[in-house]
Amino acid sequence: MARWSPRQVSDAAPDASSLTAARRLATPGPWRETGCNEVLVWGQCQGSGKTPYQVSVDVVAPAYRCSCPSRKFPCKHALALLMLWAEGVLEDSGQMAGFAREWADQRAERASGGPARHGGDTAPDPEAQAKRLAERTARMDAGVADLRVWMGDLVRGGLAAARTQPTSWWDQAAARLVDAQLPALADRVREAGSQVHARPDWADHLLTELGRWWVITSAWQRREALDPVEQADLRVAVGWSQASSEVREVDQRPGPWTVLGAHRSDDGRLQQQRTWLRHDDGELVVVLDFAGYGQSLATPQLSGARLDVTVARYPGSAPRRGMFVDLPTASGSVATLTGGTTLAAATEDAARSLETAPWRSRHPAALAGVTLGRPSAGSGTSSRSPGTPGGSDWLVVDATGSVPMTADADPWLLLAVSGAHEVDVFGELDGGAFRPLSLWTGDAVVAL
Amino acid sequence: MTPPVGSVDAWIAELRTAALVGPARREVAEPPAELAVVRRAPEASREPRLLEAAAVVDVLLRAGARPAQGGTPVEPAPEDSRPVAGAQAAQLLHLLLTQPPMSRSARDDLLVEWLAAAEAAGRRVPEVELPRLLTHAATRPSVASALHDTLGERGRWLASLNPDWSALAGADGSGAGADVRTAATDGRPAEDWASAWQTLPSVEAVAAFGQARLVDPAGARVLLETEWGSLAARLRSECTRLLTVGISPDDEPLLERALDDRARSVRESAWRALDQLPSSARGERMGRRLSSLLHVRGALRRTLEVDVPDDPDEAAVRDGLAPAVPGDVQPRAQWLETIIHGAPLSAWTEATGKDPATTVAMLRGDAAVLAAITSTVVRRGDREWAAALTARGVADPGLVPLLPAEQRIARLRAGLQAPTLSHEVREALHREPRPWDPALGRAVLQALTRRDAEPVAAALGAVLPTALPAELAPEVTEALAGLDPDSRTRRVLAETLQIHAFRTSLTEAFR
Repeated sequence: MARWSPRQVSDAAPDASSLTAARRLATPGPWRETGCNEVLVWGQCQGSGKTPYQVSVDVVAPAYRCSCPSRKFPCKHALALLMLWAEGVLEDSGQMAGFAREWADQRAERASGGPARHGGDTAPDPEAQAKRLAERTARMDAGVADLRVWMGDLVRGGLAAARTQPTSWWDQAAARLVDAQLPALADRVREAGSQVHARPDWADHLLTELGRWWVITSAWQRREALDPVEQADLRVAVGWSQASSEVREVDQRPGPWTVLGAHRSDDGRLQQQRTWLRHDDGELVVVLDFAGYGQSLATPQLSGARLDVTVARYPGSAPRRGMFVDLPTASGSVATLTGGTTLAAATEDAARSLETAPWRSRHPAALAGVTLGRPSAGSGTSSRSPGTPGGSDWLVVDATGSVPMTADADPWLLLAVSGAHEVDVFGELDGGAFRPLSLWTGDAVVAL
Repeated sequence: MTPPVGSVDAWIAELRTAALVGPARREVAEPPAELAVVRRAPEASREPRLLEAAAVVDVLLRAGARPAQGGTPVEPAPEDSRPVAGAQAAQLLHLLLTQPPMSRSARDDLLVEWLAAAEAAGRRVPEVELPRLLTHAATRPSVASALHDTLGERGRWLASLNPDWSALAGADGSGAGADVRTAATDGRPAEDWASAWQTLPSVEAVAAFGQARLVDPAGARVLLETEWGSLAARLRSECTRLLTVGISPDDEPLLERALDDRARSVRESAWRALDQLPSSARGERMGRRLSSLLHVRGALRRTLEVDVPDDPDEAAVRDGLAPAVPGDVQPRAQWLETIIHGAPLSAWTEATGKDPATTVAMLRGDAAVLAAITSTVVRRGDREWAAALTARGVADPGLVPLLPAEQRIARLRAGLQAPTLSHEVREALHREPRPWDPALGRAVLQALTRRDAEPVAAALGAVLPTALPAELAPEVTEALAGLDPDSRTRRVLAETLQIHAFRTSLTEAFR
């Protein structure tokens, strides 16, 4: 079961005072034996009395149970528990607390006399599921419509005026998108709000960014007309994540997969790892790992390693997102990058991918025989190019031209190992710049 | 509705302006025909039309992006004739640079040892380690000065591309001041680096002068003489002070001239420098002043008495004695000290006609005089006098390095027997060449395994890992067994063992 949004939790409250009381309880402090599964969320809350209150909530077909004497329904304990769950604080636990199981069994018997729903072992009620889906898409539809109105207001005043808005103005728009379960769009809006002050080319950046939101929201409004692959891409663009359990069994492909390169980033809240893999016939997938504050990411795979592993592929256009179905084991390694191409061909390839997913900005590129360069004096990129204020003052050069390196890329290891002689490099084309991830010498692969 | 603008660039520029001020004040232009934009349903109002156009621009710019022409490829690195260090050595270097299993100072010592071993074996640093090593060496002079030729062509080429590392790109890896040094040793025309020196900010000019003085003292002095008239007093003073580096009688004329400088700070620097040149005319003058104060007395002529000096004349003030203060208590002790610092030590033995040891004995423990003689001996590095003073019971950490090895170690071992570690012994241990003599190492180990050894471990912790000789490893292991697991002593000794093991693998890796 997808987590509820904070707004869904507040919608469930009988009145404002319950909500305020619940918010005070929504800290891990008073809670013990908390847990959740596909259907239920449970926990014990230490109140003023000796015995803690036992709280259980069925989040699929909403129902609440609490051992407290409150006449409010749901009580502040149930609401607080839901708030914790909505914030992602509760552990997905396989072991149900005894009181929660007892309650679930009673309810199931009363409802149908059929088998108890414990989640996991039985499919949720399809009717309820369809209802939830309808509710969710309705919420998303409303959120998309709201964003388009907000964008209209933004451009009516002009971008120069929008730049004078405080951070809270952007954050509020983003918060509404989170409530509407469009987290990817929310991230984009929040990021745009900080970029208007960070980038010298903020006006061009904001204009194209607005254009991209317009494409995404227009596509959302006509999503019925899209094919399933395009719909899957669109889902990623708005941030409607797919449960890994839904993907794991569906579209598997056994190895060997060759690791082309990996990238790690850490924005303080979230660490991310992208690992690019290629099958022998050339199919590329990217495996994404995430870890929150204080957690550690999955062990990185060595570039050049041949992995004996089955990869399940998420729906969407190529290159698709992949997931390791089992634990990857390396069965050897290669030091030669096959299928390398020119900068011109790689950029063209990236451009062609916009046909199916016009909002996509990162594209894998295996380059053969590139070297590093510096911009020639006075040969700045033309005003028509997407601009590379995010790029560094190093260029990746081959016979077909040059592309700046991304600002986050470090040229020194690449220079040290290549000696500025021609080498094969795998990396990502990102917003008009190139981010090198691995260097292939024929004798060794160096992760950059 | 405005007519379509002819070119795509012009259309985008139009759109940009409309977006900035808002479409109410500026019409949204229609996309040019060449783009062949097809609409499903035309948007009625201006805001959606602007957003629609922005969507077209976004995709257009990204899909239309092509590699730029131009851009200058970096000149490739020259071929290397030196082979890269082997896999085991590379691994050790990687470990030192990324996760050293020892303290910071020990890590730098071992890096220097790695580089020395590579230099001796004619190997170079593996390419993948170059960025990390250069970043590290840029802030560590000890590591920088050990680079020598281990960077190879590739490393020097790489360093020359990065402003933070370019000082390390010189063949001798001399770090700051490399330009002046290279210039001096390459024998480039003197006026060439003299003119470069003129343009340096004063802090850098002083540093560069010090470096030049190490390599080519005469050349540096000539430069200073030439520039003398145009230098600020502070720069004259600092550079004059640096003449003590590699000082020789050739420096005397310039120093004598500095005695008449109008700035007191310059005169002070000249006095300090001339104290190191007792054979100079000023030294002789001071010698005469001292001789007139020395008198051998007593029935057996076994006592050397030192009179207090009279008020200095003009010549003595020029040589550094403080002028007399009319009607006040005169600084006679200070005058005496200044005279002793400036005079040749031979003035003492000439007065007694005896060797230094006997002469020291004849002073009968005159503390002020002995202290002045001691600091003179330490500054001039006079071994004979150092031995004489030590034999007569003068304890000063500065004297110890001047003693013969046997005597030095014997003294240190005796000092280590004492219940507490004296300042003199501690300082001397820090100055003792590393690795220590095994006998000394054993004495230190014993001191460390006695009760209350924590202060000893605290005082010596930083030097111990590199100072204890490798052959003592079995004894270190034995000592460890008897120690409290949480003690600082144990930690220091465990690190020592770790470093010994590291050093052994280092030797093997370059065999």
